[in-house]
Amino acid sequence: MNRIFKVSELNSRIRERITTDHRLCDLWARGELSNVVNHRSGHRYFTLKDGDAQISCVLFRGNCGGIDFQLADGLNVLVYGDVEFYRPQGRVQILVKAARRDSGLGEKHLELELLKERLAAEGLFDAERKRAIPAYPACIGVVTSPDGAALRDVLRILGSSCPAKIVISPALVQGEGAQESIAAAISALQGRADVIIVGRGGGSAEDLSAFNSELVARAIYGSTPPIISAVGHETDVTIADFVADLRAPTPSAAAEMVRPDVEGLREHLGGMEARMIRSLSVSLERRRQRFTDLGRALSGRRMRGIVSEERQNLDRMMDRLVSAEDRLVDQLAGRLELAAGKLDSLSPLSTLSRGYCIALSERGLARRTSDLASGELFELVFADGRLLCRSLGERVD
Amino acid sequence: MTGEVSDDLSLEGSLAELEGVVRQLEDGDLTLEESLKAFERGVSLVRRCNSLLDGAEQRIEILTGELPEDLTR
Repeated sequence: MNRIFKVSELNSRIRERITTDHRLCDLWARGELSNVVNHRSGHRYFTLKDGDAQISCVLFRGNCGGIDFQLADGLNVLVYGDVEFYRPQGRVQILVKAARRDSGLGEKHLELELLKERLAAEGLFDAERKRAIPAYPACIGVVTSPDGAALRDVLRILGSSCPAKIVISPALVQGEGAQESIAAAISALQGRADVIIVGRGGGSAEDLSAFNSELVARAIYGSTPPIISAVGHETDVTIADFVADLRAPTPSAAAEMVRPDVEGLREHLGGMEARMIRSLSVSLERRRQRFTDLGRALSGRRMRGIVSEERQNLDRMMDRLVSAEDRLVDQLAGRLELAAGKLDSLSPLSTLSRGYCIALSERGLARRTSDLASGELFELVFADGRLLCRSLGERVD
Repeated sequence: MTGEVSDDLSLEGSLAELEGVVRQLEDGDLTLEESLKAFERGVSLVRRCNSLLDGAEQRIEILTGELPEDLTR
């Protein structure tokens, strides 16, 4: 004997059946929009159809936020949601949670778009967090397959003249386990490399899927050294490209970006050397002037003699310094140091102003007690003038 | 500050320091002795940078496994 249902009982039973079927949850459906009704309440009702069939859809106001286009009859769309059964009217419908214009792309692409949106919202792609690539890295890390063409391209570009160490952190770049392998290879370079190139040669969308994974995106995001993504592809940009500090279109291009400009650097070094020589010349010139002024102010033939001799030395040195070839620089530095020691010890200004005196006898500078005979007259030179003195002989304590 | 430059100093580090030395010298606030020391340090840094560029004998390392044969030289 078949059971007789009340309609409400029957509909409850159908509803129960539909809502507990996981195959009818979180699904994408593709079709054309028709009968779009924008209800006063903010909810939208429409029908999704193809050549053979149709199904009712409802989009509640709260789910409208993520939809960036105007729903209109005739549009080809993909809707995402759960199938449900509207009991009062006995109608099967899709409870829509998201919708996209249908550009003929597959589900994988849609998932990718959703992941991209999620990571972007979390700030992984923010321009403000992108780090500068060091101009002269001491160590360049390369995450790629050791057997691929990408590694050979990178090494060819960096060439033998690159003054950096290259550390290869091998990774599977496609197939099962590729994402985990790339993430591990990035983490192995932490604390070793100053910049990391993560890449592979071109391939199909399927081949590149590891570079579109959340795991790799987070490994790049978490890296301390800046990362250059170098996935050889022309059409699409991978998630790795968005997260990386810099995106290179190919591994070769990435190598170009990290290769230090050695010629430019040599020019820069030469320029700085010239600036140092110039500044030192200026500074010596200034001191020479002061020295001359002081020499003029001091009396004593011997003192003047020393001053004039040193001034001539200084002049000769200046001439050489100004016309110095780069090769002379080291040599000059040594000579300058010697001269500077002499100059400093002779410089009456600095010595006198610190409270020391110079003893001058008829014979010139008195350097030791034996330079002055007992009872001899001599001058003590202070910063502000001279005292006439007489020696009472050497003191022996 | 001494003239000696440590062998550990990187190109990037040497350059940054050299730029500082050049600025110091150009500012002209140093005593003669300090100027000469700075100059000497600067010359050593230039020499260090040049030797890093000259002696760029490239080193390639692989973290795990072995370097494929065509890459070992």
